[in-house]
Amino acid sequence: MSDDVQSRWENLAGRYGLAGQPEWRKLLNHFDLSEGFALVVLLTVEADGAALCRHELGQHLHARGQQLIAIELPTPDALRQLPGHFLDTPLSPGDACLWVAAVEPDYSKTYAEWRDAWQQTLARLNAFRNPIRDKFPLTLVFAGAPWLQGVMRETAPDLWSVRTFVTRIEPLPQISPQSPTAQTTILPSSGDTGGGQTTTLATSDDTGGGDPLFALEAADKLRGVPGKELALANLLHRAGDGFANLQDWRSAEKAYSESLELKNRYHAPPPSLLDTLVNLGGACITVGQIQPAITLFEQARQIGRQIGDRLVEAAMLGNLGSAYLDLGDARTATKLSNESLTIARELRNRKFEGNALGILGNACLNSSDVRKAIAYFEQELAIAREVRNQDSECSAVGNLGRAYASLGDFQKAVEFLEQAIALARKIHNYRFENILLSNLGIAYRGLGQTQKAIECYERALAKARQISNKRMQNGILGNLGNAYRALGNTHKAIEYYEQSLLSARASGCRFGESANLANLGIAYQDLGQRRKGLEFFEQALVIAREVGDRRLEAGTLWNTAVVLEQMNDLTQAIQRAEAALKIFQAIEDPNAAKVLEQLATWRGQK
Amino acid sequence: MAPNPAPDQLLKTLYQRLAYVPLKPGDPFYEPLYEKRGVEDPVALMQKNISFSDHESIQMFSGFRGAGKTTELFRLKADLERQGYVVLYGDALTYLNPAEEIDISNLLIVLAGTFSDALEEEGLPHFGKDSYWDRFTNYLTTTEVKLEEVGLKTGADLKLNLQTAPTFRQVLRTKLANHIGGLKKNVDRFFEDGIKALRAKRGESCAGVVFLFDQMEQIRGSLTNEQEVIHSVGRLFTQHLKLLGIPYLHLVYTVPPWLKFVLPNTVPIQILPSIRQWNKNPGRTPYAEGQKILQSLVHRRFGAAEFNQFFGARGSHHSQADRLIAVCGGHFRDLLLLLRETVLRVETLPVTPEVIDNAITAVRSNFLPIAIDDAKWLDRIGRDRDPALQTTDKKDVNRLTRFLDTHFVLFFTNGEEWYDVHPLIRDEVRKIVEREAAQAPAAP
Repeated sequence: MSDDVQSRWENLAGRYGLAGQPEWRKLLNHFDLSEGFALVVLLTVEADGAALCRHELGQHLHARGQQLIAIELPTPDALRQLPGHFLDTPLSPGDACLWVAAVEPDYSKTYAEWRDAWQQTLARLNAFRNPIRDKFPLTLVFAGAPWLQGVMRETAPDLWSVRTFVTRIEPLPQISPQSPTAQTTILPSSGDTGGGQTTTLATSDDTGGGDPLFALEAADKLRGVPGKELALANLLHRAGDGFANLQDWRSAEKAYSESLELKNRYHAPPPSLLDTLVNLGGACITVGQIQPAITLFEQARQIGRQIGDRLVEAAMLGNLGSAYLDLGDARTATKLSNESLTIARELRNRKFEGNALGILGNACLNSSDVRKAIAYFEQELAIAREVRNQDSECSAVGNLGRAYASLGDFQKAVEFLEQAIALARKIHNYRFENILLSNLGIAYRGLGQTQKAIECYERALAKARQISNKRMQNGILGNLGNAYRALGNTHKAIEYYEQSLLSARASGCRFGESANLANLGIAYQDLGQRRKGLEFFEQALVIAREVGDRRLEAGTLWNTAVVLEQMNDLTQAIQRAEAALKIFQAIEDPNAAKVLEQLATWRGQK
Repeated sequence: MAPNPAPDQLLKTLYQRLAYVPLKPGDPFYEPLYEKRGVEDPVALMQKNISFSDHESIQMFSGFRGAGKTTELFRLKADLERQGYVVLYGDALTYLNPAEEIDISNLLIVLAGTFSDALEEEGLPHFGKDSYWDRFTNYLTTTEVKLEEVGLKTGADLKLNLQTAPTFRQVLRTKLANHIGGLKKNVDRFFEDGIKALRAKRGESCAGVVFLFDQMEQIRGSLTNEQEVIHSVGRLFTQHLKLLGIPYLHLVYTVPPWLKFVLPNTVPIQILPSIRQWNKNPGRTPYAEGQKILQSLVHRRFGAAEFNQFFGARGSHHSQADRLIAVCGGHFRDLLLLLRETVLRVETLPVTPEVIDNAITAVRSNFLPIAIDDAKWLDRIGRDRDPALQTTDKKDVNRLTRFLDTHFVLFFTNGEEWYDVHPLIRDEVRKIVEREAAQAPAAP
């Protein structure tokens, strides 16, 4: 087999993940258990899927010393001619499967012709049900697009009535465990620790969409045509994929929404509904609509349970975990990601295992448990390299960069992030590259190279605005605020913090809201407006405790301590500082040393 | 019981036991479904009709796909033979093309020809040198039909041409159009000779001769000529009913179930019902006898020890098997389908509720999607327990037949005939109708 061909099979295999699909395992189990005549109807959305199934099944049977015989049907005419010679198909001992496949999606140009050919063929074969049963002491597989089921039921009811079972094989949903928005730093006013939290990374969500306008053009032809509602829905989904590929997330969201509405209304099969739910969820996350995305992922998870697809369940748990992280709810994110990890390990799906570990790492990072986060990210990286998934590798390396930045090791952070950016460019993942740029900016800030940091942020922000990626924008705005503040331009910093705050509130990101409130507190404090600063800190503290972000809580406690001391309320200041110290020490934050020192001074004064 | 990995050999054995093949009486898997108290037995009814008739009778037997027609015909044969009847079996499709229109001349020839074949297969005594095929060929020589015109030389030619040559069948039809009376006499004479010979051999113990002519319900045409073929079948049983009876012979034809809807009172048709699992009341209260029959079927297929191993010991775990039975609609093939799906998915024993759920979901998906108009009709059937046939137009009759053939709608009898929607799709139907109602503009 040539390298190209081998590569094609590997790509297809990766898209379908057959080993993890219950419906595929059911098919293989059948061949292990069955003897004599059987009729299996295999439904799959595209010809490539059928080709993969035939290839894999052939290999499975070959390993058992059996053969799969395939009847080639390159044209509708060839299919129509099948009944004429079907019963003459020669058989040999060891033949275990006779494969008859013609998969044509219902939105293709030749769909009507293929449908007609299947109708005629099945109607004719139906008349020979008994001779077929007598002639073929093996499993007959008829493989077609999902619409084949209805055609067979209607035009070949005798054959349909003796089916052994129907199996549905779908490509894996294009699922990306989503990453939280960029999170801004809470700085004790005594020094810029730069201990920022950077945006974590999504794995690749290359939807592979084609020309979305072409898809919309085809869709428009089906509007108002009775009976074509699901075909229209599929084209709209396709347009959504195309827009997502171009990173036009608003248009993608619109197309997916319309597709979903149609699919719900006209009772699309669960796997089709699932695709659109997941993709729309991903688009919503990107434009900052986290709660709607959570609702969509929940629905998708229910469907996964309904159809018994554990892989879907695992993936949706991962997506939900990621979405809750975006909202700053690390506790819920951890719970869901652990469930995802359990299922991924049960199914021995390394890709999803890696994804779940990445989300757990991010949840730990958000809760300021950095060592544990690093442990998770290292496992994520090992798996990504093992399964040769460069998107996951890029994500893991970037996550490690972020983690080391949290520990204050900015040099190491820069090394990891630059490595990740190089990989993102190599695999042409420009979305990753943008996120990593923003993270790199934080690391440069940590090294005191603020101007370099601002350059990184502004490049990333321009791109994030261009593609309407609200999540990215939120984080970058906050980081720009920090950078300008570090340069002494507090008014400009406040402008950026306020933009980021508005955006975080609009998208329901509580963590982002809290971080920006705290940063506004620091900025107003810098301007000498202590009371105003204190009000912002109090608001930030409430939310930080609500979402369980310990670093943010500690930083805000410390900031309020500083303001209270400046307002001559030493008792309250010491109380707040002690509370902050306790948390900084628990999370091994380097700020603990500075807080301890300052506390000693204040106690001495008292 | 703690879950254990499912042993491969057990699963293999079970899976093969769950394959659907028509069963002969005496087969260990045969479940005497209709020989139970409280269940109407169509075979018993047909036996009575034969017993109560003097010398001959004609009956129609039907059932929807997967209802067990062929198996019950075999039971009828066995029961009648026990009563001293000679019972022969003929397959209409051996010589008739299910995709072509049928006419009385072809049917009569094939009826006699298959009877002749059955006599040979059963090893019963011949009554002359000639099979019917030779007889008919000879008969043609007495008519103005020239053998060369129809491409015949011998009876073997006739057999072969009937099986393989559509043009031959058409030619024969045309040539014999004006010879139906003569043809009928020829056929009747052949049967009479055969019956005489059988009775002579059996002596006084011969209660009568029965001929089961199966598979006529398969004659339904193709996509392009379905209406014409169906019309031809309808015409046979209306215009030529008298020609379909054979003197001295008890004849059972299997016929398509839709005949019931177009010829409601012309000829009584015994239709094999689904096993009733619930009563015809709004609450669909369970019908225990039906449940027991299906439970017995499952036990029989699995075997007692294997059943306990697979589903767990009786008591709470028997409910797992009952969950599958509850949604099968009283249809064996659907029950076997559900059981097969379960076996294919099981990894540990006893089977878990999740595996049962997934099997049910998988089989339910075989019925989907359901078109809105279909859902509305099905909803009416579910509410009224009546076919809700608005007209006897072919289109409507065909659609209802499709519902019955594909088990969307189930047919029951318990003193009266009634219908209901398959349990696997009731919820889906209800949701579709509710959704449509919610989206419809309010009436002014």
